[in-house]
Amino acid sequence: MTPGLQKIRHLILPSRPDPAQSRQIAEGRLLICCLVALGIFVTIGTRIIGLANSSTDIHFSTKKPGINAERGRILDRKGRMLAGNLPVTVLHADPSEMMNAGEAAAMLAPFLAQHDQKSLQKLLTKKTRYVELDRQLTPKRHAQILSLGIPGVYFAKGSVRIYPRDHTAAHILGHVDTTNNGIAGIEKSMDSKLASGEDVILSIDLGLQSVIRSEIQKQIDKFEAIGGAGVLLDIKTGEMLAVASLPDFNPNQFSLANDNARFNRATKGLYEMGSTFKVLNTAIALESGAATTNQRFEVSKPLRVSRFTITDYHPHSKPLNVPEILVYSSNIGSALMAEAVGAKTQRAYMDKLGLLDRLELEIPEVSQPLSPKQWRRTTTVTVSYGHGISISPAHLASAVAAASGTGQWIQPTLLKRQRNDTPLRLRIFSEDTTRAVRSMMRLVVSHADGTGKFAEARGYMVGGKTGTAEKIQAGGYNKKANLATFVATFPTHEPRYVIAILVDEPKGQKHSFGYSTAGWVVAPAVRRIVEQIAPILGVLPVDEKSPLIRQKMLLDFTIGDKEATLASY
Amino acid sequence: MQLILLSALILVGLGTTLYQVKTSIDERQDLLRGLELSIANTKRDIAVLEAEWAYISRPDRVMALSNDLLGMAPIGQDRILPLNAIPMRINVDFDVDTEIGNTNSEKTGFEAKQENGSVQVVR
Repeated sequence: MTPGLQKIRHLILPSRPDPAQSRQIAEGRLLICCLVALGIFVTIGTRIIGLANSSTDIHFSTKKPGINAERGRILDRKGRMLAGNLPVTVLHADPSEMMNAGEAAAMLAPFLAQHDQKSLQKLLTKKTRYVELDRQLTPKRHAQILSLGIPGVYFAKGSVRIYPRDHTAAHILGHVDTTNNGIAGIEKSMDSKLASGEDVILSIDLGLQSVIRSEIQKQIDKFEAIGGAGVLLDIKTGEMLAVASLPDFNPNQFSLANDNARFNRATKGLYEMGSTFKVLNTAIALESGAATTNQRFEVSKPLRVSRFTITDYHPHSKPLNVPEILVYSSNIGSALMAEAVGAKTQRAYMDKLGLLDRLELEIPEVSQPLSPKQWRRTTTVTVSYGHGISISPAHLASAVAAASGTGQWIQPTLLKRQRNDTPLRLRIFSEDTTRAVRSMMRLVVSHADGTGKFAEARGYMVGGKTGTAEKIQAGGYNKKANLATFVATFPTHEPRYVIAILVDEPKGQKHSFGYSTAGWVVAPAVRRIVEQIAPILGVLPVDEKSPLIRQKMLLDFTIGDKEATLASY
Repeated sequence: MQLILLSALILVGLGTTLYQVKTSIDERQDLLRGLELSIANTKRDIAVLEAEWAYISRPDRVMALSNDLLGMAPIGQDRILPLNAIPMRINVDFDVDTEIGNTNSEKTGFEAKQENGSVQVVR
């Protein structure tokens, strides 16, 4: 380029800077561009990663355990469901989204049983964002309502508490309210555990429970009784294998049940148990040393204790020994034995046997037994044959389990014992005492003059004691209203189970020759129960006459003579 | 210049990989949601079936049915025996000709052995 031309160029364009300087400037600009581009890429990249992460957060959100978990089930000791949850569709609506509440109400009304058009319209115009229309929608109605296409109507998945075994063990299971809070029975006492989704395993066996319930129901029907109760207790573990109370109710329709049906007679009902207490009286007399098995008591004359006169249902002319007092169910004999024991000792034993306090069972439906504050002479005497103290059938079973079983009182429970459980055990009676008591109970059933003959389930060595008590009414006892009880231990040579059955106000029938005593009303039920449950429990029938069995019993008692009458107070 | 080209290529590569990973994750999530839904539905079905089974297997119902339809009743105590009360099979030494098909003799091996007095009870 000529210098002249360069001069001309300078006139138009600014002079060129130094090439080296110009390169520096260019590189600097390029770097800035690069950094900006990099910055943009990094920003976009981070945003993409951020978005990817945030979206995974939404999809992978796991339900927090324990908060929204389904209520735990209640199972029997063999894992069979007694209470569970049934999935249902819940129909609800958002009134604020309703286009035309009146029209919607008219369309929905035919599908909803618990609402008519008016009440629906009222609900759908409420100033809220949630109204529940139906908790238990069947799939068919679900489809029908869906096809109506009403805006603002929604379906949600819910669950409803069900008790698939209907009446069986209804009193033990209890109930929940509409928001699934336990309000009775195990549902109430184990509410926090169940609510957190844990299952509860009961000591109850569904099969045994069903047998005992149906057999008591049969006797109630046969003898036109007003109610009944039954408890089956495992002597060695204190587990209650069956607890029945009749009349009962269907927990799936809890609101239809009346108070009488809801009342748990087995654990909450308090009764004067009558002669079944003589089992305890005998055990206490033997253990405290107040009597020996062959000691005889004079029972020919009525016994006067302050203003009471104690008589026997069937008077005996000869003095009776201790086994005879139990087999013939002599009130006078029992009273004399109790007097020999003394008030203080008797009360102490009653206390140890848990008969003065409420049972610590895992349900809220338990009662404080009724016993006199001052344990006078009359108390001592009447308690000996089961009057003046009111306890629940569960109390009776638990006390008799101690007196006729291992001699230990074991804390009864409604929950299945785990292997490492150590229930409260109190040694009350010696092995010798319980063996004697068992042998005498066996005689009540096996002896020709025993009051519990009809309880004889051949081969299962049932021992027991009947009790027929007149019910208390205002101003004394009602001679026409009986309470028939039976407490049985089986098998008596190796005691494992105690059954206590009670039938409330049975009426004498033609087929029972007018009798409404425990020997006629309850004993046959005990026989049928034992015959049905022994195979379930794995109790094998034995030959009573075999020496192996005989040596486990004390049977060298002398029981009256052949002319002795069938006594059943 | 080369540095810029290289970093641009790397960025493009990273971007593509990221995109692919994200879409594949989305696909898997859809699959997972589908599986979770089907598990939930199956669980509901199982709960319904369990409830139904518990309802129809009520002991009183089964008992009534077995009574009415099958004529079953509780087992009598005389029909229950412990295992060791059952006499076990008698072991016989066949020193008499009692082969199967040999109908000449009226006697069975069992009787023959009893006569010989060498009956063995095997437990």
